[in-house]
Amino acid sequence: MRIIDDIQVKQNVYITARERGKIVARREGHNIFLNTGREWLAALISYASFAPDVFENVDRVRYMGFGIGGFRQLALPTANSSPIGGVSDAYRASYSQAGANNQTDTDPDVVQVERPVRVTGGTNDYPTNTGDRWVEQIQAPPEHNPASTSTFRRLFGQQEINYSPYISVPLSEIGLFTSAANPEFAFNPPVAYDTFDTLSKTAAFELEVIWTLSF
Amino acid sequence: MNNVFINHYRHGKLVDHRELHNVWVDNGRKYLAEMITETVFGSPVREDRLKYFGVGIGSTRRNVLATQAPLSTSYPAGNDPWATAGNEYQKEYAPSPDVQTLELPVRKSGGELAYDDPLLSATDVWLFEPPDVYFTHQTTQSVTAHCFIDASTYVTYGSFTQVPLTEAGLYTDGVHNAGGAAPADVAVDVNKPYSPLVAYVNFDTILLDSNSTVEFIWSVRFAP
Repeated sequence: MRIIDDIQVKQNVYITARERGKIVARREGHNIFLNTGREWLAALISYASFAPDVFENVDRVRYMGFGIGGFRQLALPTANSSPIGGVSDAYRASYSQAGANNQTDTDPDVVQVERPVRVTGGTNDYPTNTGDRWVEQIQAPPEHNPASTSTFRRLFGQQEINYSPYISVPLSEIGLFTSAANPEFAFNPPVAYDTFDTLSKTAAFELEVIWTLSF
Repeated sequence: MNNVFINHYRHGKLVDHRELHNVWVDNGRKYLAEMITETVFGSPVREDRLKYFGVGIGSTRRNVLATQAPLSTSYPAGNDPWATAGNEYQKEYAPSPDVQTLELPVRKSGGELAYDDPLLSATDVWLFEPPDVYFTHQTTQSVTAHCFIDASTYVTYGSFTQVPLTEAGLYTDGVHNAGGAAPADVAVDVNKPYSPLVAYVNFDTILLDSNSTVEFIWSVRFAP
């Protein structure tokens, strides 16, 4: 029996690391659909005005991005030391948060990936952005199987996320973003978010992300 | 937590108030899943938003008046997708049958012929639309539809002196792709009785006559 007041948005995130095609690590988790996402959905299904009909929001899910923040970061010494963190820190927050690995995937108030990492780009401290890519496009079209779900996929290649001098990047958080995100901006607001036990990305690995939203 | 509120006024005075749960039906879940996606970047799968509202006299709460002429003549059972007896839809267990439409929708305005008369269906209006329906955000994470039915003008007309409402539905405008033809489970037509809805509620009878006005306040909320 179903009596539904609120539309439950259930999520499943699967992250698989493969080395030469063989699975070497896997993370599975439930993430949280954030308040930013709930606000986006409410606007997405609404008109701003009628006659003529004007959409209130036109953004759709388009990007994924990783970070090294979140409370499940198990490799803090690596995350907080050079070249990733520390005094000469490229990824230790100086932008809008302390980046103290406090974010959980149970708090709907999360508004950004805590310590986002570049997919490609340079090595400057936050918030230097020019030429950097912090989030990347999912594969299109997504799957709807069953019809009340949307499954988004993204394959992060061997040279993405980790590049010199970031030989090993201890990933521990991931965000799902709409087309409103600016890929060259580090702190976009995700609509859904997940933290997971550290998965260190090196150039030996490819990361496949499968993210399903169920309604 | 209730999300559908109904106020029934007679001669301008509040005579009944209901607070109910709705069900977001499978068609609505499919709508959301498609709505957030793009076929290719820049080409959304769907472009329809919440826009219409409909009422009916079917469901498990159907009133005996709905089984008698003239209502039973104009609104006969068995024309819905499941060819039910007119008293089977319910919000508590919407999958059986899978609620896709109202069970016995009633016209906002038009004639009195039985469902889907080929000659007059184009002049009948089955759904309420803006400005009779408007939408607000009571919170930033919800959408609330407001529909005000003035029965001195709508629903009760001609021989329909009393109409026992027992169900209601919320609809998008059914546009599938920008400029594309919508599939049958998406297309919404205000001039046809059985359009696919996204949310459904049934309730004990609210008996409309020409002195009645009914206000529906229907919130759609998203949980974390």
